[in-house]
Amino acid sequence: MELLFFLLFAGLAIAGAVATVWMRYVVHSAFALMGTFLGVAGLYVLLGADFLAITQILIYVGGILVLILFGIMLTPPDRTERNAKRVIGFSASLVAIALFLAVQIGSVVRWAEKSNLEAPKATAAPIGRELLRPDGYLIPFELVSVVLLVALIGSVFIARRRKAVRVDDSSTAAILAERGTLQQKAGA
Amino acid sequence: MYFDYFNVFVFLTTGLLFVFANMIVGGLVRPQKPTPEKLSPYECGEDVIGDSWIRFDIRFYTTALIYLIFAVEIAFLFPWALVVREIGMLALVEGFTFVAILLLGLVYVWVKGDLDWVKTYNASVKGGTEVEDRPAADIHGGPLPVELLQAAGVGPTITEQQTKGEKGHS
Repeated sequence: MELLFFLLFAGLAIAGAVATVWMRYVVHSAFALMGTFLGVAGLYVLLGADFLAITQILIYVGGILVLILFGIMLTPPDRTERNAKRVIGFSASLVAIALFLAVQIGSVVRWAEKSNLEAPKATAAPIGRELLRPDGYLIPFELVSVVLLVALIGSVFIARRRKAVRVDDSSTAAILAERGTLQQKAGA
Repeated sequence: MYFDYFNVFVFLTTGLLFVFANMIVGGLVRPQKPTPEKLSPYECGEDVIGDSWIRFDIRFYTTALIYLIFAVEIAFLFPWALVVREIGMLALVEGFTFVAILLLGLVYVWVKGDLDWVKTYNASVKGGTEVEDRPAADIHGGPLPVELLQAAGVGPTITEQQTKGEKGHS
């Protein structure tokens, strides 16, 4: 039963990853990425990390994926299909897989193959206790908010600087040029 | 074993199945006589203008960025909320400090106008021409093509102001 679910989630994650690379439209890729995120969340649950799983869904599926989609939609529409040479991509992925397998075989880490653990317990409350223990992760917990603050201000600042519509946006430039001539006529 | 999570899985699967089962049954049962008109996207009976892939406004991206940061904050507050009673005063102070620091970020983006939905746009770098972005023209979140609006008689006014740079919202 556990193996069944592992295969399901791992398959979902891998299928999503493959589809992300394979899809011709970048929007489809972004949606395929959702499968990967959900599959990884399922794997987290199987590992007994339920808080991590819910965070994965909340932040990756709920936040980062939306951000990626908005990022795609911000860019000028590109209808040209991604006609990259598939052969090159395919051989590159084969090389990557071979390297990964080589590392797996060559690595000295022996992963536990069978879990003899009890049913995993809910992890959120223990995490909370660790976060708030003065000799635990209390200072890092507070520092996280500072890091988040820096990230918020920095990312918004960088996003804002591109707010001015570029002149090389041809339609806007054309409209503005036309507008300019019209107003010159009106002035004259 | 994983009984609690199995519940979640059952709910998830039921939800997915419900959607796709209905679509598949509907696809099998309904008559299929497609015509070009039926296959075109429906825009309230109007002929379709332009591309479905419009460029989204940067404001969506900025808002998503802000949302993402606060989603991470919420993720940290879940374990905190579970144990705050148990630990007591220290946890309460810590939690409020955490929120207060991030509140500075909210104040920052608020004051700087990143949360304003309707704002004046610095449309051109050269000359400092500003396009006023009217809410009525803002259905898709971005300024509609000016010619289109003028044709409809609701064109936004473009005011030539010699404003320097990003006055007011930078």
